[in-house]
Amino acid sequence: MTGGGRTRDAQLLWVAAGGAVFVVVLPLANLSGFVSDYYLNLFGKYLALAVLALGMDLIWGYTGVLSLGQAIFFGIGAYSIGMHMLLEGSGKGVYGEPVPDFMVWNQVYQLPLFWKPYKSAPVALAAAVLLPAGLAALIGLLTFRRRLRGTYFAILTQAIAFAVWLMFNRNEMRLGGTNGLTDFKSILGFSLSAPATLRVLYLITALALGAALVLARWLVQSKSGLVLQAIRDNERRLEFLGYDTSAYKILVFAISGALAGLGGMLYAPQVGIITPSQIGVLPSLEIVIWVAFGGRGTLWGALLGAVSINWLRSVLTGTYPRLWPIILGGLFVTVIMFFPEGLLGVGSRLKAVLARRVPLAPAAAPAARAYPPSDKI
Amino acid sequence: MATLLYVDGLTVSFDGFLALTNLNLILERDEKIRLLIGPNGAGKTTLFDVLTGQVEPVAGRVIFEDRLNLLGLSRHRIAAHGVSRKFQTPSIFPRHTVFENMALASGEKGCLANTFAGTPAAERERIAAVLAQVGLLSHLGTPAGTLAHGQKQWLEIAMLLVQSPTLLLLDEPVAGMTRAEKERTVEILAGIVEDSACTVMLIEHDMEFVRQVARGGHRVTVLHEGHVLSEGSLDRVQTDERVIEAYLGRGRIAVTTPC
Repeated sequence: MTGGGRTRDAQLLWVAAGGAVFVVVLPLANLSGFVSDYYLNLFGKYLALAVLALGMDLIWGYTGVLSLGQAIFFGIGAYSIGMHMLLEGSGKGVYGEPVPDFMVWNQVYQLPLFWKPYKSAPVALAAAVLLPAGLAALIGLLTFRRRLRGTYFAILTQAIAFAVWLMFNRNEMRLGGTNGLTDFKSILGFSLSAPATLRVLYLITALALGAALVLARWLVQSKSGLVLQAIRDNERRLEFLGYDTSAYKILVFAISGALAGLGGMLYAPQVGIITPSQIGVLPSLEIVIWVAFGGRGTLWGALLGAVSINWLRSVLTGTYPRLWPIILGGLFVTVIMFFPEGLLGVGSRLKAVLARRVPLAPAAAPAARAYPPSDKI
Repeated sequence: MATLLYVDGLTVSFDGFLALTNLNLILERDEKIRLLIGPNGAGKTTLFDVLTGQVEPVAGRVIFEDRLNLLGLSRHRIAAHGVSRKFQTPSIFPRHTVFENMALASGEKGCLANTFAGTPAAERERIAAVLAQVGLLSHLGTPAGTLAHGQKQWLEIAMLLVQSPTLLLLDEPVAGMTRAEKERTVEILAGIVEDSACTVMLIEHDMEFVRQVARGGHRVTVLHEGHVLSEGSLDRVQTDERVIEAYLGRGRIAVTTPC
């Protein structure tokens, strides 16, 4: 209970510093020509993926529930906004039909019924966040209430990810099949080929990430946050103390689904394409690697992992495209074997080594604090 | 006299193996401590498992406070009705501090309330009072995983006490404790009995500890092969022929003949 104030001040400083770099410095550098539009857009993409990683950290890092289906929620968010953007541009395409071009190639000239609500921007934006949250809550309701746990839950979510991936690949789904949705012209009336639109999208993404971070920190520092970490460490004890742990897990899974959907919604317009290859089993696994690499159960680790690995991918796939999967796997193995607390853990251990000259090896005793203490609890 | 717990014809089967066979047990409301002893495999822990919703019996009834049927209720509902349980090995949250362990045990359990509100001051005072009772008040900020074994056991007891349970189930609370820790536990138990209205049901193998507790005139129930073999004061059950046979027959010499 003591020292909580100082830790929180330090954390706030980090939030302010991080916020300043991404919300003020980077856009200003872009306006004055130091950072190209291309790089700003690239960072916009990383920050959108960081929102996705944040949700993963809540459900896995804090609650200890390994979901291997986070990319589905991301995909629903991305497809929702993508459908709206295509409808905004339909009629202006090569064929002049009132449906997106890819439907014309499939001889579909009538807009499918489930596409119609997406003509409305508010509906599309809400669906991008609420549909994944609802789906996560539904999966949670069907599994957590029946005490499906651990590996079984991981395998089940992976199976769902695979099934969803198969479904989205089919042309009959009217979602563009393997090609996905692309060739977006505009968003909310603003042309996507204008650099100004992309700059604003970047800013919105940075602010959304900041808001998501504040929300997540608030959650983990409440008493519910304590409960989530207690579920991770000893769920049975919690049940015998009178907690309906499934309600907590459903809530946090729904939040993680909403964050994944938000990430997807911010991702699609900036990248300009969303295909089934980004929503299946492999992308879901990659999210786990980001969070493990950055340091699970810290929130900051998720951001660090998502941004650094995706940046590394951009750099390395350009020069060594074939080596990338090996590098990614190697990083994962290294982190799991030598730095189980991820990059953030390396930092704090180095600090401890310098301050107290303790051995570099991981301590056998439980970590003193995996999260900052709070006065709120 | 009101009945706190009425266990009637309880039978539990694990794939055909009968862990409990037609077990009957009555716990009066004004009883302070009930000691539960018996050789390994007698069904003591299984009985606790049934009472807390961990195991479903194939037959029998469990009526709590004359009206509530505990069978079929989920674990957290049973806990909410005032039946708290301590596990055989310390079951705490190792990465949370002692205070956080207590905060988790006390107060609000719903997820919406806990997201939007903190721990009120009155609750903090109660936590402090209970921690003082088990001698852990000076360890508020210590991660629970770094406590000594005995302290972990006391912390778990404190976590249950802070809930003001009606029925407190303690499964071998002194297992693995040093002599000094055991004596302290006897004192803590005496304090619980004196200060709170709860009834304690206690499983124990350590006969020295059982004797110390039973000195207060508490009843002892002996379980054997899934049913009640004998019940009464410690002196009475220790001289019971069937009890001696049950223990010796299984090659155990835990019960010494009374002098």
